[in-house]
Amino acid sequence: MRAKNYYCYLGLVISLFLFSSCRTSSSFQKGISAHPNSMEYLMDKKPVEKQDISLFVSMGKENGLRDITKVNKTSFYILPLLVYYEAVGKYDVNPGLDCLQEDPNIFFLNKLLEQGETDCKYRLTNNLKSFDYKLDLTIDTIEIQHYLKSVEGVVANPFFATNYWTTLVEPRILRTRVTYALFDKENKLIIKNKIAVSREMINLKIHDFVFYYDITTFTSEQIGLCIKESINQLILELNQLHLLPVSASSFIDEPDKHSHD
Amino acid sequence: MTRIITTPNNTLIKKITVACLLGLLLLQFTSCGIRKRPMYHYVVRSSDFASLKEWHTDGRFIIIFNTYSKDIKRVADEIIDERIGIKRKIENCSSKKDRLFLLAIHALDWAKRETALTYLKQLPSDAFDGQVGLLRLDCELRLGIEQDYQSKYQELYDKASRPIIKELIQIHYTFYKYESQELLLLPRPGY
Repeated sequence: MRAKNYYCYLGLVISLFLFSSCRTSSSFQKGISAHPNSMEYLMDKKPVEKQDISLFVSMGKENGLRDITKVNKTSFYILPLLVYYEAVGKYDVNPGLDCLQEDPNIFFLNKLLEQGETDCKYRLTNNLKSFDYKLDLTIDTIEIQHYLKSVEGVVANPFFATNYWTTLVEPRILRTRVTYALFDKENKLIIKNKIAVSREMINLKIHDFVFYYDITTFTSEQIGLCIKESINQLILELNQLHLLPVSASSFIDEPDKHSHD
Repeated sequence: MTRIITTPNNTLIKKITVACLLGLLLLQFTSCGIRKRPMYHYVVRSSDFASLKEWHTDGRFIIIFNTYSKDIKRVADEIIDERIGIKRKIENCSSKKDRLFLLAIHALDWAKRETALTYLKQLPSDAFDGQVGLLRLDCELRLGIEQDYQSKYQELYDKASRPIIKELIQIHYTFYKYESQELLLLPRPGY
């Protein structure tokens, strides 16, 4: 009887040892939320000649990102052998605002103003006192989802015992859509358009001890690059417009017509 | 009295056990390789950069362009081939500028960032296609010197005229983004 109890306790201790490093969805979520990262990127500046026309830029408050990262466990299995055990977990990660150090809307606006200083032929401003035209921006959606595979293992034999942990992050979706609307001073709509960007991303192999830093860096980096592409496209489209100074006329010339003239 | 009878089956089990243990040892060593952090500087010829950047995704690059002096190309080739006695050859370089750049590369090759930084500081940051400024930032980052790295990298990126240098800065910047977070977490290691 005593021997039976002994084996039960031994089994319990071994099970505790084996399962101690297993991660739950909520522990993933908490780890990610605790390490937000910056969306900063390097800007590709292409300076253009400036015109004395100012555009007041305003940004909406919505961005479509959830507040808190959501982690769903899709599958989990353990390979328990005598000297080697491996636990493999598969998760769907929907990153939220808690992954990011900056608010995406404010970040977008600041980056647009910064890049606009050199790249946009019109003067982009956030000064409401004096402007010729008004540019309203809305981030309709930032869709991002990763597939995450975590492999944890223990090797134990008479010579040594050690454990390892590698994680593969495979991006599934990364799409952003921004709507811009340009108005004149009388609030008459001149042009309205959508800029949709989707990125193809590389997989990321993560090393155990910097796991949460890497996953949030990766997420914030990819969202940042999406914003970068959107800003480049927006500036390109703005530069193609032929706006006239308000004092002369608030007339907009279509690019094609202009080139024919 | 217990007698141990060795049958052919027992021998087979022993062999399988030993093979399993060896296999596990091998697995352990391979997993150690995977866990290594990207921290190295690879010296590459400009002609090899396009192919090597696909292979060495774990390190930064220093590109040796064909336009550089013969001394630099000769010594860089020896660094790439991991030959010995390189420092003596560097001392024989006629140009001080070349000598300092090569000494910095050599120091980085041995992960001596403080030494590399002292050599790099004696050169203008835009020298060698702006690579001096870039390597200086790498060293300062790893040495834990606090400054606005984002704007420093952006400044170098704006100044770079060649697309290959822009790509190089982008690679170094990616490491900055990932490692700056890691540096907050870990004690400052040598390597």
